[in-house]
Amino acid sequence: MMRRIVIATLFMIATSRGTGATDRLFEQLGGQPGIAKIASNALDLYFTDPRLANDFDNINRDFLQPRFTAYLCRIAGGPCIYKGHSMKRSHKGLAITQARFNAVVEDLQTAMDRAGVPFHVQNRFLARLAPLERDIVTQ
Amino acid sequence: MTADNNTTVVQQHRAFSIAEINLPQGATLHFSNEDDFTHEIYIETPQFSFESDEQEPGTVVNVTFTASGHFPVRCHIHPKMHLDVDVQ
Amino acid sequence: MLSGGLWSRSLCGWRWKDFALPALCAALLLGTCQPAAAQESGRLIATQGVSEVDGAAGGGLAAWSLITGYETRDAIGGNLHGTYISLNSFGLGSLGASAGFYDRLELSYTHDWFDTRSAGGRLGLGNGYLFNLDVAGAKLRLYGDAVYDQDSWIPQLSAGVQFKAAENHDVLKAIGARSPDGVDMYLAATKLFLAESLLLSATIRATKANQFGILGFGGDRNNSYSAQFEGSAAYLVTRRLALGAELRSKPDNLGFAREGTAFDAFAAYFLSKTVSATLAFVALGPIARQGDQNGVYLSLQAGF
Repeated sequence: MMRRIVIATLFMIATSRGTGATDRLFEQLGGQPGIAKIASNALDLYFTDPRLANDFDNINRDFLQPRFTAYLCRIAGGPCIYKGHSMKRSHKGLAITQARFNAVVEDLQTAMDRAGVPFHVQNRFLARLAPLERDIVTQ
Repeated sequence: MTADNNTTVVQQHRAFSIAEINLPQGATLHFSNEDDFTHEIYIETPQFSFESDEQEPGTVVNVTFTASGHFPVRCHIHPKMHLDVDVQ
Repeated sequence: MLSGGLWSRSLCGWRWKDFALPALCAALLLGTCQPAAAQESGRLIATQGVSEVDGAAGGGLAAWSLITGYETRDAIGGNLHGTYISLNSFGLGSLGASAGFYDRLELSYTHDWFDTRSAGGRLGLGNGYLFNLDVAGAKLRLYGDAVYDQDSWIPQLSAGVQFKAAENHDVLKAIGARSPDGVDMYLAATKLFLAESLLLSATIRATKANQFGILGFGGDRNNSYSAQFEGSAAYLVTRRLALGAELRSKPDNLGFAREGTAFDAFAAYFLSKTVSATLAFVALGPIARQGDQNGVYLSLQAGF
């Protein structure tokens, strides 16, 4: 019995790697203006990326941009309130593939390059976004 | 498609179930959101304007057409959603 | 005198390696004949590793749990590699191809040749005597995703098998190798710690191979499987450049020539998703009684 409790606890610890919310990531991404720039750059790419043509052809950018910005801000540890749906709920029904998810990540990397975010800071941000693959990719 | 005083239009796969409809004056369209996504329909013409609030999946928005004319129904969130309503 | 049965694995006159290369080429052709949309190279750059000496996706020495190719679980990807290692007394070359199926199964084929140069003369074989080794490998991803599972400590786990066949049967017999053919089996765990820009990999391998199999399998000192360890640590300096170090322990089965653990320190540059180049300094330990073999490793990869 004791052995089962120990194994279950170890498994829970192993699958719950923390994301260090108090590690200045929001500041290093440029705070509110930095996040807004990253989000805007990323959307510029999403709406023109041929790999994503079928994903962004029927969504109003004016609707998406404030929500996307607020979401990134919250994930980065900023003081933003995101009132939209969960990633799972808002992408359900879009049949997103891993390849298109990866294209979105690549465009986000380019967006951060253009906003002047250092490579290692980008990776810390991407580490928080990577697990969303499970919720967003349904195909 | 010509319809009676009460017709249901389904919103699904980010589209309306029909592309155009003819209605008699005073008819009501029931927009039923059977999609995975929130919609927000609107009409903007000199004779008649309408704004729904955000319409969650599983809810119905009712629009009564008292004026005659041509009324394109659109969605604020999904720009490719088109329904052309012609009222006699 | 060992019987013919032990030294030739023929099936009606064919050897498995007669099938391996054509089968792998067919698999790669199948991959390139997919519709254009699937050819969009679905994985992030530098997320496939390079090819280790036995041909599996990994570092230069260690096999990783990553599946080769830049395709996701919805498609087929592949990789070609050419490697040359110049050591104090020897040269070691490797050419191979691998295919990754749906980010689940990897198949690989590699031919390694070992040039004894003037040491060949000293060993009584003749200068420039070549040892040859064919390796056909298969790897299956069992659990996890090294890249997406950033919120978990659990690595991506894969199990692999490598069928190896050395030529030069008479010479291998003479130096005490018990068989020119052997099978390696391994379990690999790899994880990308994205927040730290660090990739770590650890592999346990059951093997009887002498110098990766180039000098046959088993020997007079030991003729049973032993558990060996290989590990890599790589730091992502920029999106395209990784610096790292590896080690790979090896059995020491032959009384004729002792061998030890191999080490390398590498720099891998990913020009694009199609081409990458790796430069490393290697220390392979003693080989064939010629002392510690250190040198330079250069590898080019073309993948999709």
